Amino acid sequence: MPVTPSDGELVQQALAGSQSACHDLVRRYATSAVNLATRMVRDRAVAEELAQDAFARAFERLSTYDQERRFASWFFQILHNLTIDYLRRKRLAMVSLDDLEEIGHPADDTTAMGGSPDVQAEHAALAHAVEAALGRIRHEYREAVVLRYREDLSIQEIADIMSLPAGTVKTYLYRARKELGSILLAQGWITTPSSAG
Amino acid sequence: MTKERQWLQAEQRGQDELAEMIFARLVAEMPSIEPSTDFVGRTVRAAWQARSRRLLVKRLALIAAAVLISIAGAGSSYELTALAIGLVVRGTVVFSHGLVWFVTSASEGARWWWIAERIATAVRETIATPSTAASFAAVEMIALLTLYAFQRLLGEDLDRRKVR
Repeated sequence: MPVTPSDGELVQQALAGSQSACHDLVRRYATSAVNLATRMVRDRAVAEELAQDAFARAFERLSTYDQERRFASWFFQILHNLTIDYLRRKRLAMVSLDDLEEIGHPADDTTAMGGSPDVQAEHAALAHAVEAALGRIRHEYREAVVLRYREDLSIQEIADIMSLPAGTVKTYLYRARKELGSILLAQGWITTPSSAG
Repeated sequence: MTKERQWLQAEQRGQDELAEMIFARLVAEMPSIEPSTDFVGRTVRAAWQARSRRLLVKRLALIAAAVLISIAGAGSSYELTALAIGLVVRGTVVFSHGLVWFVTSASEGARWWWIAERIATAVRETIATPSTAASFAAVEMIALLTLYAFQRLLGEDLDRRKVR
């Protein structure tokens, strides 16, 4: 059974001039990069361009990569800087649920989930609503949420990527969750205890 | 009950830890946004082309720098050689002129010194004869005696004026 090379080994091979090592690194982080960038800029084509630029810049500066650090953390920092630059230039407005459908977001696969058709339909609708609500909160909160819960980075790694104190990242995560909850509650996805009683 | 609803209920009830746990799972299970099929190939090609371009530019810059340094070095060495030769020639001319001047001055100085010495010697030889020395001594003695005689005559005249 072939042993999967680590990120550090791939970086070493890429530095030595291996194109296949570059290919492996891109394949390994392409989905994460596009996911993060799309959720931040809310435009899939732009997100792919940003991810591509981030990879190009990463390979350009590969010799400066510190092997002690996780490649993901180092790479996401490059992507973060590019994305923030883009957002500053564009000053993107918050998008609506319809915009999310336009960016080519795949519909949730309700058939993969067990339960009755009613539950499946509710799950699909709620998942869609959560995703849309994610697009309505501040992009800093969105980035923190995606990096923490999707990419499974530690608070400290996120703090390094976003150049923020770890405490601020925790606050962002907390506020993001609360704001998302508020948006969904405001949309009537669940009745408040007072109104229910 | 869906996870989304469980999360919202936990949020409503203030069960923060539970809410965070469910929310984390919810986000982790969000549908993945897959990159387009040719994304990896396109990205690697672009990155590789950029790398090749950078290496080419770096090599060209190195070659250009080497050529410039060589040209500058050759030009400088030619200019410096001409300057050095000019300096040596001028130095030689100045030195030779200086040497001629020094020798002339020294020989002139020596000649005048020789003349002065001859005059001084002639004077010395003239003065230093026994007869001349005796004549000088006689003149000195006569001068001293004359001075003494004048002092005595002046003193007597003053005494007579006091008695009167």
